[in-house]
Formats: sequence, C-alpha cells, structure tokens
Amino acid sequence: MNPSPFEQLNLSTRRKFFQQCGTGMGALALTSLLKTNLFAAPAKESLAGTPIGPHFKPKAKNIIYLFQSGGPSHLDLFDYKPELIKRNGQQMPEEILKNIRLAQIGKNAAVLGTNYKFKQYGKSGVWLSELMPHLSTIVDDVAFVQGFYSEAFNHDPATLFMNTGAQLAGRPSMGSWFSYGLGSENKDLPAFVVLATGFGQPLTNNAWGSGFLPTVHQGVSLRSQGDPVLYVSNPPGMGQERRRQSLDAVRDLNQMRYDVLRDPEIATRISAYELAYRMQTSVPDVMDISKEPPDMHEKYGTTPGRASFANNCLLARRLVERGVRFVQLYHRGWDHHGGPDGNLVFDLKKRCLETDQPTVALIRDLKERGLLDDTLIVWGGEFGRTPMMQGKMTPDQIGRDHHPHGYTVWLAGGGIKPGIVYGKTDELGFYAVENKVHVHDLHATILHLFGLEHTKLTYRFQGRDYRLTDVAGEVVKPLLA
Amino acid sequence: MSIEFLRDDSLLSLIRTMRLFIHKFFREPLFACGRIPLLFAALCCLVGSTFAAEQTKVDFAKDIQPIFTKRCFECHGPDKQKSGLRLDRKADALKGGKSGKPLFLPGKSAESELFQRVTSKDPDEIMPAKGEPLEAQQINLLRAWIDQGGVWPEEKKHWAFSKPSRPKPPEVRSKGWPRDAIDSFILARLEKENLSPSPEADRATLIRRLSLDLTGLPPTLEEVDAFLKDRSKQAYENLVDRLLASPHYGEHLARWWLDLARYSDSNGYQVDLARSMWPYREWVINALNRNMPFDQFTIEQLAGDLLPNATLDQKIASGFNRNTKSNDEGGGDDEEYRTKAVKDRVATTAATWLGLTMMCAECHTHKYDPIAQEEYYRFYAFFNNTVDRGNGTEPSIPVPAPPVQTKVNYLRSSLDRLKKELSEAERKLPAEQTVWEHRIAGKTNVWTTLELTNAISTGGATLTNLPDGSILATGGNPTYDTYQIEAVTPLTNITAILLEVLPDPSLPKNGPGRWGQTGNFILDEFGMTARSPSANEDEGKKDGTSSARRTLFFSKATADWEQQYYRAEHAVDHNPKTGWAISPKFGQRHFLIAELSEPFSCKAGTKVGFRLDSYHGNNHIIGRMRLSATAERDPAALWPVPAPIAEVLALSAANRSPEQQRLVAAHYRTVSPNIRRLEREIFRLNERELELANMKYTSLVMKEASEPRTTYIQVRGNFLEKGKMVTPGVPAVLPPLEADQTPNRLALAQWLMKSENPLTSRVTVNRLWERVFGTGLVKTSEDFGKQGEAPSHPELLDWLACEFRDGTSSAPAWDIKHILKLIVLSATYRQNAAVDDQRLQKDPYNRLLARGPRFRMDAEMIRDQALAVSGLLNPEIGGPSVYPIQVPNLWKELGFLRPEIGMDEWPTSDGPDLYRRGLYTFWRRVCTYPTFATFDAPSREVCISRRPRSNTPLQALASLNDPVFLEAARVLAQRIMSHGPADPDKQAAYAFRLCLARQPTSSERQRLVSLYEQQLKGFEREPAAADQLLQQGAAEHVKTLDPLKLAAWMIVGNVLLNLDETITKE
Repeated sequence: MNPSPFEQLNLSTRRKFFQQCGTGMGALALTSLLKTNLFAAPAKESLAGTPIGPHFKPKAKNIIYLFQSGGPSHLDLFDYKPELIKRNGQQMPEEILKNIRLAQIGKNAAVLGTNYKFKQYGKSGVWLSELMPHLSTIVDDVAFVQGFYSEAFNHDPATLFMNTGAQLAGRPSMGSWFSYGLGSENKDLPAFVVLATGFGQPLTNNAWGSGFLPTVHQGVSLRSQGDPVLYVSNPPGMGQERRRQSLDAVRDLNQMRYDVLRDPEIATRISAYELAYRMQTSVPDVMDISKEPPDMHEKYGTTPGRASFANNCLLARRLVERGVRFVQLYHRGWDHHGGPDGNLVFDLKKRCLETDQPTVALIRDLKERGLLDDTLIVWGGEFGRTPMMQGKMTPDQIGRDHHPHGYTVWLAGGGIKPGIVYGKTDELGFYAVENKVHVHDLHATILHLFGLEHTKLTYRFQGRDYRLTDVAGEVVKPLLA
Repeated sequence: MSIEFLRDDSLLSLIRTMRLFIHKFFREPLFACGRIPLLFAALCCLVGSTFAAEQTKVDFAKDIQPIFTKRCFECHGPDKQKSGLRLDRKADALKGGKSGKPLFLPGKSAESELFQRVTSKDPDEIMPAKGEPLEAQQINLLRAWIDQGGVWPEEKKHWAFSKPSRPKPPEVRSKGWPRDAIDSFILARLEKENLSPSPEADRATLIRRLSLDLTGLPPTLEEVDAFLKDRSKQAYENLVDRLLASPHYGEHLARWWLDLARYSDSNGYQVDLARSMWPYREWVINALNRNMPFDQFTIEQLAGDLLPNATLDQKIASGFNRNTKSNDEGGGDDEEYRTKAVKDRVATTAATWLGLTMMCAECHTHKYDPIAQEEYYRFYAFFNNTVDRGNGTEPSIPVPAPPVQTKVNYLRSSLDRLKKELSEAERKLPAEQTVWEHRIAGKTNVWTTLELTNAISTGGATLTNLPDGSILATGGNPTYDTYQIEAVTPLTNITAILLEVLPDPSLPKNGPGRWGQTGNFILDEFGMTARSPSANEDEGKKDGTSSARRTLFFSKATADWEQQYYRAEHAVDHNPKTGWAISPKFGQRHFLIAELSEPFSCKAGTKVGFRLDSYHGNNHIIGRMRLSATAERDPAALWPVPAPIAEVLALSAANRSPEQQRLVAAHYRTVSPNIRRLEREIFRLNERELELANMKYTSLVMKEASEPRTTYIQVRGNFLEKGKMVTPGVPAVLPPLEADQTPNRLALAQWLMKSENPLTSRVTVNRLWERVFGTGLVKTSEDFGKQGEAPSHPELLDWLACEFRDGTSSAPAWDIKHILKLIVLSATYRQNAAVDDQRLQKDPYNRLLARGPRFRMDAEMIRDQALAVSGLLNPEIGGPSVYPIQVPNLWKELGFLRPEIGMDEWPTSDGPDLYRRGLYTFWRRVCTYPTFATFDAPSREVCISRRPRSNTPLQALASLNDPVFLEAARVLAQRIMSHGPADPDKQAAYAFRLCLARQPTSSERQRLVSLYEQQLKGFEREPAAADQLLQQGAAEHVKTLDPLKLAAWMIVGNVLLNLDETITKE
C-alpha cells in the first residue's frame, strides 16, 4: 500500500527533523505535532486553564441537537392542559401575570386552549398532540422535560442563552465548549458542525461561535447551497491534481523556511494545509446523501439536492458516524405569533410535517445501527409559547407570544433514561412548577453525559474563569439512565 | 502519606500536580498546536521538581488564596458572609465565623476548623457546601499551609495601582548591543537567563517588518531596492520616519483601535440593521495620522460632545461610546438594552484605558480587584445620562459628504463602456431577430389563459374575475395577503406559467400593485399545486395537506423587468423573505414566466391551484393579474408576443410595411436577453450615480440629557431591581477626581489622563508593544488587575509609561508615534526571528525576546497584502464602508431581514471599491466578513483587546480559494509576465520578492520554477483548464499574454500568497 501524501509528508518531515535537531526534544516536538488533530485540541488546551476532561467515564460520545428556532408551542405539541381548554377566551388570573414582562401581547390577552387532539402514549403515558404522529411511536425512547424554563423572552438573547448560557453575545457556544473540552474524533472533519434550514427569525452565527475560546472551536456551518464549507471547492480549472501539485510546492517551500527558522508554527501550518486538502474530499463526501439507499430516503423523507430538515437529519447521522462530536441542526419558522407567515394552524402544521418524520427516522436509524446508546438527541427551542392568545381567532391569524417560564424540551439516547416524563408546568402551562429544569441545569446534565464536570470545564478570559453554566447549574440526576 | 483522604491513585495525583505547575509556568492560551510538544517537554523537566512539592514552603498568595477565591468566596466573600465568615480580608478571616472558633490553629491542621470542614464526611458539615469537595491536592496545600504556621502576609498594594516612576536602565555586560534604554532592560533580563540576543535581521526582512508594523502593507520593490542601496547611517531611521508619516500608518493603527472601540457598521443583536458610523472611523484614522496627543485623543472620544463649543469633529469622536449595540427586535424592552449599552461603555472604557475588568462588579463586588459593586455603579453613572435609547441610531448628526469623485469617474467610465457594448449589441439585433423569428415561427401564441374557478384573498380583499380573464383586487387592502387561486386547465401538458400583472385605473398610481405610494408590489412566493390525475376527489379532503394534491416545482423564473435585489427567481426560491418587484416601472404591464422543473401531464379539465404570497407588508400586493399556461418546450417561444406583433410576424418580411418592421424590431429589442442585461446594468449605474449625489451622511454621537438620570445600584445586575442611589465617581483604589469639577464624562476623561493615574499610560504603551511584538509586556493587555499576568519586564513597562506620560525634551507627552519609533529603533526589534533549541526550550513564546518577533498577520493585513503585491490595491483613504466580493446569499441563508431595509443582500461594490483595504469592509456584527472571521477577526460586539491567532485548515481553504485571493494570483501573474524579466528564473525571483521582499534562496527559486514548468506542461495538455482558471475576478484581463503561461504563473502566485512566510510578519 502506498502511503498517502500526508503520511509521506509525515515521514519525510519527521526524518528531516530528526536529522536537524538530533535532540529528544525536537523529535518529541514534531512527532506529536504531526499526529495532532487540528480540530481536536484537548491536551494542549488543558494547559491553558483548569484541567479538561473527560473528568470521568462518559456515557455519550456524540450529540445531535435539533434546535427548533422560533419557539415551538409546548401547549399545542407536548403539554396537555385541559384547564386551558376549559378557560379558553377568559382572562388570565392576575397573580400569575404580576411580575411578568411580555414580548408583544398585553396582560389582558385571553387564554387560548389548544385546537389539537391529545392522546396518551407509551409506558410513561405522555400526552402528545396529533401533530406529532411519528414521535408518538417512539416515546419509550424519549425523556420529556416538561418543567423546563429559561429567562430571556426575545429571540436573540434567548437563543444565545440556550446555546451559550448567556444572553449577550460573546460567550462560547455549547458545541465550542465540547470541542474545547473533548476535541474531535475525526481528523478530517471539524468537531462541531451546524446545519440550518427553514425560514423565519434570523440566526446569528454567535449562537455557534467560539466566543473567547480559540476560533478552532467554533461551529463550522455546513451550507446547503454552494460550498458546504466556505472555499472547500477549488475554482474551475484547478482540479484536485493541480491543487495537490500546488500544495506540494507550498509544503516544500514552507519546509525550506522551517529549516532556516525552526519556528514550530510553520510545521503547524504545513499540517493545516494537508488537512485542508483532505477536507476537500471528506466534506463533499459526507454531504453527498444521494448514495444512501432508496429506503433510507423514504424513511427520512429526503430529497437529495433540495435543502430540508429531513436532509439534515440524514446528514447528522452520516456526520456522527464519521465521528463528528457535536452536530447542531437549526430549523427555523416556529415563531407563531399569528399572521400569514406564522400561525398556529398552517405554519405549525407545516413545521411538524417537516420535522416529525425525519426526527423519528433519525432516532430509529441510530438505534438500528447501535449508535443511539452513545448519541444524545436534544429537541427544543429557545422558549415555548404563551397560554394566552396573540392575533385573532381565524386560522391564519391565530398565535401565541414568546414564553420562557415553562415549556418542553425532550432528550433521547446517549445515557438518558428512556420513556419518562420529568417535571411539569402549572395547570395553565405557564410556570414550570415541579422538577424544574433550568437552561444551566440542562447544560450541566449534557456535559455530565459526556464525562465533563460542568464546574471544571473552564476557560480564563478577562481575568475570570468562565464556564458554560456561568455560576449555576445542577446535573439533573433523575434524567440519567 | 498518612492522611487518609489521599486515596487518589498516586499517578493521578502526580498528573494533577504537574498540571498545576504547568498552569503556573505556562499560562499561555495555546492557539497553535506548534506549542504543545514544548510543554510536554517542559512538563517532563518539571516532573523532578514536583516530587518536592510537599516539602516546599506553601505560599499564601500563590497556593491558598486561589482556593479561597474559587471555592469559598461565593458564600464567604465580599458580598456574602454566611455564618459570619469572610475570607477575603485577613483580619475578618482569622476571627472565624459566628461559631467563635478561629479559622485555624497555626501548626495544628488536624485541630483546625478550616481543615476539619473541608475534609468532613458529614454532608451537613463539609465545605464547600456547593459542588464537589476540594481536590486532594488543594486539601494537601491547606494542610501544609496550616502546619507551616498559616502565614497570611499583609496584602501588598497590587503593582498596577501604584503610579509608575521612571527607573534607570540597568547595567548590562554586553555594552555594545543596546541601542537605547529598551535594549538595556531586555538585555539585562537575557543575561540573567543566560541567553544572548539574536543577530540583526537582514535589511530586506527589516523593511518588510517595519512596513507591515507601521502601515500594515508590504513594501514595494522600489522601496526595498532604495533601502538596500541606502547604506547611510540614517537609512533605517529615515525609513521609520517615512513610514510613520505615511497616511497608511493611520489606517493601520486605526484598525487596531477599532477593535477596542468595537466599531461596526451594524446595530447588533438579531435584527442587526445598518448604521452610518464611518465618520467616526475616519476621525480615528485622521487623528492617528496627525499624531493627535493621546490625552486629546482620549478626551474627544469619551467626552468630545461636552467640550466647550464642541466642533463637528469632536462630536463625531464622541461616537466611541455609541459603538454599543442597539436592539431593533420587536417586543424588546428599550430600557433593558439601554442599560446593557451603558454597561458596555463601562466595560469598554475600563478595559481600554485602565486595563480593568470592571464588568465583573456588575452583579457583585469584584472577586479579585478592589472594585465594589457600588463603585461599579458610580462609574456607570458617568455614562447613564445620555439620550440614546436601547434601539435605533439616534442621536446622530449630519456630516459633510465624503469625496466621491473617484467613484463617479468609475461609474461614468463603466457607463461609457456599457453604452458601447449596447450599440454593438444593437448592431447585431437584426441578425438575431431573423434567427428568433425562424425559431418561433408558428409559435406566436403559446399561452392559454386559464379559466378561474375560485379566487380567495386570505387578507380579505375582494377578487373579481374580469372578462379578459384577469383578476382585480378591490375593497379591503390588508398589510399582507395571500391569494389562493383555482383554475381548470384545458391543456394536457403544462411546462410553464405566465403571470401577467396589469395596470388598472382603480389601483393606486394605476397599479399594478396596491401600495398607495407607487403602485408597486412584492411577490414573495409563487407556488403551484395540482391534483394528481388519478386521484379521486375524496382523497383530497382528509386534512389540509392532502396527499392527492401535489406541489409542482418551478425551476426558473424570468420577468420582463426586475427591480434591483427583487429578481424574478426570488418568487420561486421557496424563501418567503425574497420576492419579485418592479420599481420604478409602475403603471404598466409586466410579466413573469415560471418554468416547471418537469412538465406536468394531466387530463384536460384538471384543477390546478396557485398561491401568491405577499408577506412584505405595507400593502405590497398585486392589484390586477392574469394567469396563463403553456405546453411549449422551446424556451425561446415563451416570451409573450402581443397580438399586433404576431400578426406582423405572420407576414413574410418582404410584405411588411416600414412601420410594421419598426414594430417588430422594437418588440424584439425587449426580447433580447443581451439587450435587457445591458439596459438593466446601465439603469443600475445611473441610479447609483444619482444615489451618490443625493446621499445623506450621518454619524452616531453621545448627547447628554438635559434632565440628569438618577443611577441606582442594580441588584445582581438586574436593571429592574433598583438598589441604593449612587452619584458618579471613580474606584477608591485609584486617585480621586478633581474636587471642584462637575463629575461628568469630561471630568472622567480628564481624570484618566491625569499623571497620577497609574494605569492609562502603562496600559497604552503595553498595547503598542503588543502590536509590534505580538504579546504585551503584560500579556493580558485587557487585565492589569490581580488576575492579569504580571509584566515580563516591569521596569521597562514603567520606563515606557513614563516616557509616554511625561514626554522628553525631544518629544511631547502622550506622543504615540514617539513610543512606536522608540520601539522599532531598538536592537531588540531588529533581531532576526530564527530560533534554536535553547531559545525554544527556555522561552517558547519569545517573551524574553532573545529573537525577533514572528507571528501571523491579522485577517485584514493578509487580504491587503494580496491586493498590494498583485497591484490591485486601491489606496484611497476613508469614506463609507465598501462591499468586496462575498459568498452570494450568505446573509439570506441566515434569514437576515427583509430586503426593504437593504440588508438582505450583500450589495457588492463597483470596481475600485472591491480593492479597498480591509478596514473599510462593511462590518456586520452577526455575520462578519467570512474570510476575516476565519482569520480570527472579532465580531466587534464587545471591546476586544487582542485577537487570538489560530492556525486552522479553514484558513488554508480561504487563502487558497477565496475569489479575492484567486483574483490577486491572476493579476499577480499578469504583473509577473508584463513587468518581470522574461525568463522563468528571474520571473520567479521577481514574484518572490514582490511577496516577501527578500531574495529567494536558489532552492526556493528552483522549486518555484519547477512548479511553473510542471504547470505549464499541464496546461499545454489541457488548455481549457487555463481558460477556466483565468476567469477569476473582474479586474482587467490582459489579453495579449499567453494564457497557458499566465495560468501557470497564476498557480505560482496562488502558492506564493499561501506561504507561511507570506502571511506572517517576520
């Protein structure tokens, strides 16, 4: 077998290096350098702050976070409230709204019951609405967190809060913390990958940014149009062979300069270029779902070449299979205030049609491949929606406002206790009241599943040790398998 | 190890200890893996000493205090004292808590409360009460500390809080080496460490290093040659003076300052609207170029608006603190975002001038530095009195228009070129028309108007079917609307749909849209469905989303007229945020042809449905329209032919009257895609010229409210929870404000520049040092507090601070150019950057400076350099931001905003604006220019003191394939072939020197030549590839050059622009 170009580089450079310095020090240096995975940097990073993990034996290896952007209505999907239906059209009790700030509606907005039929499923007897027919078939694999709550009630701060543990931009996102804490399992792909679909509230890239962590940890957003990774394709007329030849020249010339200056940074640059070359093959390869068998497309509801949440679910499985640690899918369009482009009838139904089947196909697929045990699935938005109505009582005008005080997030696989319902909201679905789980608790729990102690995963910045969980967060033990 | 809690695996314990040591000795965030091995090696060296850890003396500040701070202060610190115990002050701590027991008994760890509590087995007793117990190593340190007597030294004043006084440069052994005081400080330390300085770098390296450091641009070959020839003693200093006087100096330094100022062209947060802030950027460039004294530079930016008779420039300067974000999201609480902006002003001002992390005291008293929460809000009060709100861009002031002549000249020359092309195209029209006539012969009426069966406006308009088959909307005119239209088709095959929008006297301005001001509309989405032919009626009624009704997809849309950014294809792209519109051609018929991705076959009489979505708002809804279908497969025949023209076309050419001929020719002119493209482009450039002439320019400024706002402490940083009222003031650890001055922003700015202030001068010279050497004397240039890193050369820092603050006989106080000049004239700066094992091992990060600085350039510099060496760079200075080539649709994919705000699409600049320096690139916070972000440029949402320097494969991909780098490689190739001597050896050397200033070694030159020859051979085999490659970029294509050689040189250029040395300041 011929060694790959990169292995050849390894051999030649290492040999040269030995010849040049002849000391154990230098040899050690370059050997580990060339083995280093540039997307994974746990060992070296640990030197920059508190020791990094895993701190103990992890249960999960990968995570697929299905972020439903805009704030899906827990009250029309997961959180069955007969009382709400009973009081439909009435005023909310005053004491509930006393200390509440609302985004768009006034405090006199009327109670809105759900129009959708709910039924109980599985051994936990969880109530699910008719909008999630696929999900209802796998509830025994799922843990529903129904007493979930957040703090922010505007999209941008709330999305940042869910992703970075802070409402203001500038903190590292969860995926960046994972990349920083655990590195990557794949040396040809980034540790943290983001895929987005849908329309509606914009997404800002600081939701997957690395904040003050080195940018090597930022989420790499794979695009569904054009290059999946920016500039991964060569221009017309370049071709892989010509690219290889020019990279050979880059490497040789860098090597010559290294021989003179011996700056280790040059050696790192040499490997960065080699990895870039490998990504030119590995990224388009993983993104090409057309090679999946027809039954797979049927299960997921995928159409190669047409961007969809379904396609991204299938991609997520392919990425996880290749060892990408953190895959985050964003699907926009859950912001149902009422109105022609966001109501609880047409648009909510559409979102469910777009997401229910592929989400469940993904979980089944992972299970069949034996990957669900170490792949954690998280499903949820930046907040839920108010028990009060916004808009008008017509199909295309009916909606609910933003609501962070109690809503549903669900988890599956990756060391999560399957088939449970944890926590609940009050009888009107307003406040989380029992077994409440805060954003920081969710983060602490997720990190825990990956063998990371959330208080110890820290990074020193501007004179302070920062964590994903800020100064709070408790691992929610009852959610663990 | 008799103590029972030390059950840890001893290896684990050893690793922990080692980590502790590594952490102490190398608190370097590692941005490149290049450094790991060194640390491993260092770690191995340290192993020996770690065994001695138990016996060595425990140091309170180093070993114990961090444990208290980290694990105990939350409950027993400055803000909370559970059980009466307070551990941040010695006197309080030794007393112990309410229990009355002392904290510890010196020498008797086992009997000490502190030790007993941290090792207790009782869950109610064990401390810390929250989180995991202390680690074995920490407990061990506490035990050893108590047993060694529990020495708790009196707290010394932190070094950074004492006013610096000018130290005398130290004596050194190698007296011949130092050129100035800086060198004496550096050398003294090197001699102590048994290191010797490196030799001076060669002159070509020096001029490149100086040019990059002082102007951010590489030297030209002429400049290099002149410097190499000038052997005079003054040559180096003359060069430095020339560079400091270059207008590019101000640009380069401004870019650095703009990171601190968090300058951006957008408001931030999710909506992230555009703002006009460039006049502030221009002010910074000009101030730095004029070498405005730093005290004035400070005062004008913090309080220019408060100066007596403030000039326009001074008001613009006050925009420094208007670079805060503002939130335009609906439903936001303005006050919340206003207070966030005020907090950002506190954080930014403190970090920029004082090097303090004051924001730590927002929610509680600072954990490490002497800043109480109350002091934080007193500082906050200085900034809490301006009239800006949490959203929008007010207050702002009008500023004079910048010179636009270059742009206008470019537009006019482009117009001239296009007009020539147009007349060229018009000459070819008759021939084209003949071909077209032939092609559409017998197909002049391919469209069948659909018979409508139902039309609903979900917004509540009344839709009437007119006799000509069109629909007219009247009555309710909603903000948004969706038309759902059902029709039967007599066709058995449909390939495309024609949507005509028609004028009507009942519509505003005669239509065809319903928007009152112009008659425009925006068709956001145009969709089509059909019952599948086999489906029976009942199947379709299960729910709203019948399986029998299927969606038909349009693959393409064209229109006779498209408004800029509102193209026909936007109506069929499944993105409801984009749409088709017709400004400014209102009051007339237009049409859109939507082609199906595959023909739809059906029975005659099949029902088809259409959906026309108008989400835009403001009644941007179609007023009158007609739908037709066709089975025609030749796209040429789809363009509708009006009946009179069709009649003429039916006649043979010889039988047409001149009038008839004119009519057909005029019609064909509207059909020709080439003519339409040219006319649209000409229209766009004309509009652009008008826009430039009428542009209003403004800049955001600070403006004090007439009624002062009262400031309260915000409990736990929550703006809704008001605590005690406070007045403006500065932290007690620093010198007081002038007693007789009104405590406002002006007083604060003047206080910052007082010579008693220990921080401002140190912080600023440290930043200048950081610019040049890559790392400051204090590495944490944003944090001079206790958690910051101590200076590597404290006396040098103070010496420079005093030189800056006090000035000398030859230089006034606060002279930035003077400090930079001192630094770059030093022998320290002039060393070469080569490293050997000894230097690498002893000083992996070059903090001791036994070698010259060498680090990767900043994002903007890398791009600027590629433009400069290829000759593309447009050196124009100042003006509004520009939009160089960016990946198409990047903003749209993330869903930023509707087009009416003008931020939906990146409005790519014209001509010369594509090649401006990076600092003029439009800076959008939520979506930073991608290649800059890849090279670690910040989003500028908050003050950034220093950028990380990562080294990643994504960077490689960017500099290899980003179109601007490819264009630069192509133009560099043209330059090599046009200007260089005509033999590959010399051409390679010429190109190498353009990029790196120095001569290549013979092996470097040979490698480039062999690459060139290899590529040339390759392109000879595959000339089409050369043609494809050379398409890159809009800059002039020199057609006289051999394309195969040109492509081969382009590959060489691409390689040169990607060398480590090229993107490194060396």
